[in-house]
Amino acid sequence: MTKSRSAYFSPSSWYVRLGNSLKRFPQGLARGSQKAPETSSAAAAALISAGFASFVMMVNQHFAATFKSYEDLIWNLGAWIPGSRNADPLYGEIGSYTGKETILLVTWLVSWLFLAWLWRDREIKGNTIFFSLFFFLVAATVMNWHPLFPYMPLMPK
Amino acid sequence: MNRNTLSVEHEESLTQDKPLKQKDIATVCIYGLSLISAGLFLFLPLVNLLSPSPWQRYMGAIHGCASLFAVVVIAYAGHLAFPLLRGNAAILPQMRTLSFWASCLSFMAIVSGNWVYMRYRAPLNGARAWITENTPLVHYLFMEYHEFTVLFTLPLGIACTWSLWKYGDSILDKQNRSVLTATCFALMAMMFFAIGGLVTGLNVARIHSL
Repeated sequence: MTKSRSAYFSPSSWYVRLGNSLKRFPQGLARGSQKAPETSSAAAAALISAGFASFVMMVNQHFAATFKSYEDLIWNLGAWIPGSRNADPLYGEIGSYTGKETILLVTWLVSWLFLAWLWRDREIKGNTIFFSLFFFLVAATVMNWHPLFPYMPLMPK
Repeated sequence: MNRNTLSVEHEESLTQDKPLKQKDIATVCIYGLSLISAGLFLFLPLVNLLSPSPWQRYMGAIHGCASLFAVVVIAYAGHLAFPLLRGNAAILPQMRTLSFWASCLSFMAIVSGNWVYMRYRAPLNGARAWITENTPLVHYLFMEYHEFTVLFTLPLGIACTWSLWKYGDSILDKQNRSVLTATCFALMAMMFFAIGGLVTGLNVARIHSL
């Protein structure tokens, strides 16, 4: 019985070793935290705040699409992002979208910090984490579908 | 590799004294085809370089490359959520770094998207004005979906990275089952939004270039 030459593809090949080292870069992150939390609150705060911020941004988008004065207000909030305002008609400008991104960013970070503080060392039920995340993400996704909301535009005004 | 179907082990086999066996040829073919397929897929945004629009040639190519790389890595991370959910401890280190790099690439795709969006909205021959005038549903359904849902990938990716790092190997313990489930769900949601962003972005670009 002859031995297969599949040794060419053995785990010691240089490209396999390179791939494995890339998979574990940076190593500090790959190792994980040495002191894991004893409750689910840390993960709950991080995950729910991500979904919540997405939902808030979409609610904000509906307000901005309905009220022009509100859209101008949030555009000012996003003025710190490069390209938010630009007079060049050839390059254009990002517009009030920067304000909506800012709302997402601020809501996400503030709600993460707030929930982490509120739930510190508390065990958050799995159902609460899963269904909160599920609700916020589904609601935020559905809110992109304009035909479901009669006040959202489908044709240019 | 399945020995019964891929290796030729008979004494009388013609390949007995040859350096290469059927199994090795099959392996080379499988590796080769998978690499060529991946290469062809990554070639997708480079077609922008042939666009008659100078904006599409550089802005479209850069955003296309950034977003395609992001989608590939995010989709890879999303697929690994399945073995992770089943409790495969061997992939945990990779999942931590992969979700981190997926988040970084998501950020790069969003930044390049912001830049491209400027030209999309430009008053002088911008794509948005043409699309809302000629086929408004492309903007109000596809483009608006594209604009907002791709942003969801960044907080989701960072939340997953945080959970996977913070809980270490104990994320697979029984008492952390809820954390593992929610993290895997978030990884899959991240993949859903990234692929949705790619599909809508490609379709909008197909209707009108920058």
